[in-house]
Amino acid sequence: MSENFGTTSSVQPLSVGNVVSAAVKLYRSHFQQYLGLAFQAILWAIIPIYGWAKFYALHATISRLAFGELVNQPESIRSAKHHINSRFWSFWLAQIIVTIILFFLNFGLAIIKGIITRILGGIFGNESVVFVLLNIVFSLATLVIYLWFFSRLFLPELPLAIEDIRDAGEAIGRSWELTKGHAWRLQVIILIASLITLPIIVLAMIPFAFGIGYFVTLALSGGTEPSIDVSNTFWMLIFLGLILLLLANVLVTPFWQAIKAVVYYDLRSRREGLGLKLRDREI
Amino acid sequence: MHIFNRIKYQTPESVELEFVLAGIGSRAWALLIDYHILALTLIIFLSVWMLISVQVLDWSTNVAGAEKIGIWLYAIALLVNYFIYTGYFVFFETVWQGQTPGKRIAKIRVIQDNGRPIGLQQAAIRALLRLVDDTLFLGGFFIVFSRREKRIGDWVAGTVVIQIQPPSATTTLVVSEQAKLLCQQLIQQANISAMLPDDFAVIREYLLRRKEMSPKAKDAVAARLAKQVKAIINLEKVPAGINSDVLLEAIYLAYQQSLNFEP
Repeated sequence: MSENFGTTSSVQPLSVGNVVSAAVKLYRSHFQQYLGLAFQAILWAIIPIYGWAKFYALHATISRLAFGELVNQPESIRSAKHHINSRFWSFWLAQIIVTIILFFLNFGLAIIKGIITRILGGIFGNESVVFVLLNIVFSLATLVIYLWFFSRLFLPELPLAIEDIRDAGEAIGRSWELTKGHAWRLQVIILIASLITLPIIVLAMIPFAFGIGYFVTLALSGGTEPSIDVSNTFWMLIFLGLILLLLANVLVTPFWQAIKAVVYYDLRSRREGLGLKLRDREI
Repeated sequence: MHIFNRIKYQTPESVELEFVLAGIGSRAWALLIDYHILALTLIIFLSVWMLISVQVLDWSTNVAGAEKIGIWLYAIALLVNYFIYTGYFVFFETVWQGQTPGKRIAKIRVIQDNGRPIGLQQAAIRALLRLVDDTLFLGGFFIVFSRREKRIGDWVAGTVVIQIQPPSATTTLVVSEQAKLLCQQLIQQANISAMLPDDFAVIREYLLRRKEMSPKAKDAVAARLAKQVKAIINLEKVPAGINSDVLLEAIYLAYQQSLNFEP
């Protein structure tokens, strides 16, 4: 039974910080594998329709591999892809549906906010302090509502990639069900994860910043037409900046897929007692 | 799970202590909270200072005729600003033994390399080098890529940041009356001693966490665990009207009593 010790502690729910740390650790220990998949994904994205579906399927593959590590059942890429390909189109479809839902939600919130602003403007006058303050409150409220929905629809690709679900709609329902009561924890997790990816994004922005800075100094220093040399340098910097941003994006993607895998794992152990079993009798 | 880095200490009394390192996530979370508290403190300080300054300036130009006082007020504000920024971390890490408000919420703590609590000296070094660590996110990279998750301030001060172990759950479980009755029956009829501490731990874990579970999943887990534990303790017949949840409660109580614990 000695190998069984510690299994009970491994099913403990994770703190928000530990969710993020676990994702970093997973990515670091499978860096080449996950990054390779993310690269394939971005290359596929050049091809319309099929390539786009492939893009999301490959991202889901990363999450599936990460989840396998978490439950101590590591898997080869080939077997993960086998499962993913059996519901290939659903990943993309789920993404489209979520995007549409969030779009209309945003649209609706904007309309409601517009109406309320009109009414309040009529009551308090458009320039009163009360109106400005209330406007800020309502802007924050709509943002909060939007983020709440965003969190609830955060991980539809995980049930698709891991469970016996093939239908995109069902997967979104599953994401909704799993995140119930945990939307705010998820917000904190997303916030911390964004903070950690910030250095990479900021470093990739440096050529951009230089390019724009260069342009501004030129514009300020003299009114003459910039020479071809100068504008070439400018466009070079912008081009380099774009490439770097794209690379930074590819670099960060597996981390987000790992975050989703850890969140999914954590939610399943919290909400569904994943891993709560007696001895190693089954499996 | 090999997800978290650990460190071990040998105390002079040869007792081995093991700590789990804080991890980048919890440290980023703590920093986020601390910087927000700091920002709020600084905003309050600067607003109050501005109010006072305006009064003082009015008074000084009207009464004392000293115009240079404005520059002094500005210089003092800058100085106090800096002291609040470093002082915040030094103060809390010294007084709370390696914790700040953010670290408390994130449940982490700074300790010395030898496992002792940190003092003023370590807290001061960490706070002074924080500026260096913040530059280009150097500290973050150091934490992610070093085995003991040390930023530059940690290297110089000789400190590590660890997770606080959750207090060994003293939460008392609420158990139904029905289960208490069933418990006595089980002690006589079933072979409770066939259960291992691990089995008990899993059942306890289930009872602690069932409130948070979705109803459907909870029933499924209870049914699965009950089936397994019934096989272990050789219980063939469960009295009518007893569901899996209550059965697990009763088994939990019975195991405790068989060890002569008072529930």
